Amino acid sequence: MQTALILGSTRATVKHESLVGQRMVLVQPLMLDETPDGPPLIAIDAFGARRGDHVMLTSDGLYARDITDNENTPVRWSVMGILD
Amino acid sequence: MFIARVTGSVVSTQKVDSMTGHKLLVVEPYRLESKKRQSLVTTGRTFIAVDTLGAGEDDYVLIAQGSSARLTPETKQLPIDAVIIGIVDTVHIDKHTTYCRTES
Amino acid sequence: MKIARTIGTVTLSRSHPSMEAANLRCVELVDSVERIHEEPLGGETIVAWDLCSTGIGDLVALAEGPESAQPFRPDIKPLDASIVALLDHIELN
Repeated sequence: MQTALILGSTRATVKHESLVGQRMVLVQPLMLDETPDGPPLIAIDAFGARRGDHVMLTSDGLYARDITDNENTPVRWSVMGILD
Repeated sequence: MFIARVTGSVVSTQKVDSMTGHKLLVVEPYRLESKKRQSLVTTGRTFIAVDTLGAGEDDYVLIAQGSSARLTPETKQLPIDAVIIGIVDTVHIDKHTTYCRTES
Repeated sequence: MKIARTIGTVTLSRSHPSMEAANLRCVELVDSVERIHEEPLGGETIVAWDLCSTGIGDLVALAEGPESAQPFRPDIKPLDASIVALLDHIELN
């Protein structure tokens, strides 16, 4: 798991079927001192996180398959909580 | 995946048993030349990749890396992280033909 | 998934059987949101299987690693990158 900053959101009409109905957010993974850790990522978000929110990201594919209800989803990153 | 040019081969006698009979090639990843963006240039790095297709020296090939390299019946049981999955015919970038196998 | 921009097309003259009928694109990765509308981006050229019929200049979501092969199950393909969404709109406010 990793902390990340929500940069914004994105929409797509043409997408893998598992992404239909999922909110996609742009996130910047962070180091502990809040400097960026690698390039920005696209994650799915079931919490309605907004720009500027700090969140917890997971790369657990099983969780992504669970929330998309699709065994074939190519999603790796999901928001698993908003940090207080 | 990335595009690479085959620059040689390696032979190893003492190796993991499952690797017996697999051809190993030396490949150099290529990238788009950054100014004119009309040709492919070497990145200067080299890899060793398993060849399942009979690629030869100077061929441009498509390589899958990481654990995805095991996602073929031929490589399922092998301790590898790079496999040649195609021989490149053409590369078009923007509106230019960046590489064409028959022309080179 | 990462953000990338489609910049070209690759065709194969010979391929692994599982790669037949592949729809392959060249993409460049977007390494910071400040540069999201910058063209060209430069950097590494990645080849990805395109599931969304994207065109040159399109911003896309790029699945990487073994997840990129998941949409093809139960078929198994040696993919480490696939285009899984064509991004219409990016909201940064």
